[in-house]
Amino acid sequence: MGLIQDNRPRDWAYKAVFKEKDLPSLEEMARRIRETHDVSIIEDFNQKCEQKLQRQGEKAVLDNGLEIEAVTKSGDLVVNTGLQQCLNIILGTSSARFSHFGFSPGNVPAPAVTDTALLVETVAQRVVLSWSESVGMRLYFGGISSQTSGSAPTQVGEIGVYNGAAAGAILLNRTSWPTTTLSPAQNTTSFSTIKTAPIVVSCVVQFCPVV
Amino acid sequence: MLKYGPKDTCYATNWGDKDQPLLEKYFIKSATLGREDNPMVIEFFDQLENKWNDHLGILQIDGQTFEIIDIAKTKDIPTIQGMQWCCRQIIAAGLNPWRYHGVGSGTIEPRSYQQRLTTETEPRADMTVPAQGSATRVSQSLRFIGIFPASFPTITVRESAVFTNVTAYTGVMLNRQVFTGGAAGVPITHTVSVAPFTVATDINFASVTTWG
Repeated sequence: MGLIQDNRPRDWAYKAVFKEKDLPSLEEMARRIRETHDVSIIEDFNQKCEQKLQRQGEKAVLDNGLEIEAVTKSGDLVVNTGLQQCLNIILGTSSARFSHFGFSPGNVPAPAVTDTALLVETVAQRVVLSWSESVGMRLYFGGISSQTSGSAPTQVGEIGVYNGAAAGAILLNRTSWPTTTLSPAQNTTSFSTIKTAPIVVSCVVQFCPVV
Repeated sequence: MLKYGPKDTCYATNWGDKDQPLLEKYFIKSATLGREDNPMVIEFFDQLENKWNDHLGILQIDGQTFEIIDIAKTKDIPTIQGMQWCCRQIIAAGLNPWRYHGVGSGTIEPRSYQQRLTTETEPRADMTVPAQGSATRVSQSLRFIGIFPASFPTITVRESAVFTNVTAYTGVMLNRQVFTGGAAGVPITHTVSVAPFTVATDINFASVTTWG
């Protein structure tokens, strides 16, 4: 048997850790994206994540001066139900647009197109998307997860974009990482302490990628 | 270089001279079954493929059958502009939906950057009116069907596309299919006041290519 090529949209995501003091600036960055739809901020973020990955050990600083402490990347799947929801929105038979990021410490088994939810997710830990924008044939989704604001799991092994905060919301994609922790690690002791590193997740769904 | 992305398959079909009321009745009934995984739309495309494969292509409504007379099929591409519009629709509300099916007689090869049909004939079919067609989702595909009545001007249907606007040469174009003969079959010819024809498009967002 030769080539079996799935032509569905491609999906990849960056998971970046920042210093705890950077959280207000990150939230300001997200607010600017939402209010101005300035996608160059998102593109700068993704580019700097890529740069950090390519040149381990070197500093990667966003245009707003924030330094990325650590970053990982994963390329995964747009799932069937998510794609169907996209088409429903395009046709106008549904208006429930994608609005939340789900986080889960689970990452096994690997994502499959038939997935409809993350593995061991605590639904209450979903965060509202910090940004959702389209550029050309790409969709950009971003979320900030911080124990400082009481919204994060202790580990992030997989993420997914949902169209709601409640259980049963439709999952667009599932992205998982082989290791569940980042350095510096998230604080696991208490949500009340302010010594935890915020994580920014930036996800790209590309409808017509070229390889 | 390997390009991924949605795959577009289109059929242009001539029907019998007495079939227009039956076609309209078929899609009026189809509209009552919703716009997701609609069994009458699935059956319609199955019969198109049957006819393309040299079998009979027959539909049934209220105990009456009607048959595909002539068919052409082509596999073409969504446009860049069309895909960008889809992405914007997924993120933001308030954009015009894909609503109109247009046909023309232009023969210029389809390219993803094209923004209109080359020689379009009006009027476009309004797919929100059940007697003029349908726009539905089947699994991971968008399926658009335009019904063009017998009164439509005489034309050799060599190109077709889905649009956001009603007026020819305006609006965003989702895709462009060209029926030029060869593998796509001989383009169908429509003569005014004789019989209706349909154009049906399946845009599959999760197609799988295999060989081996």
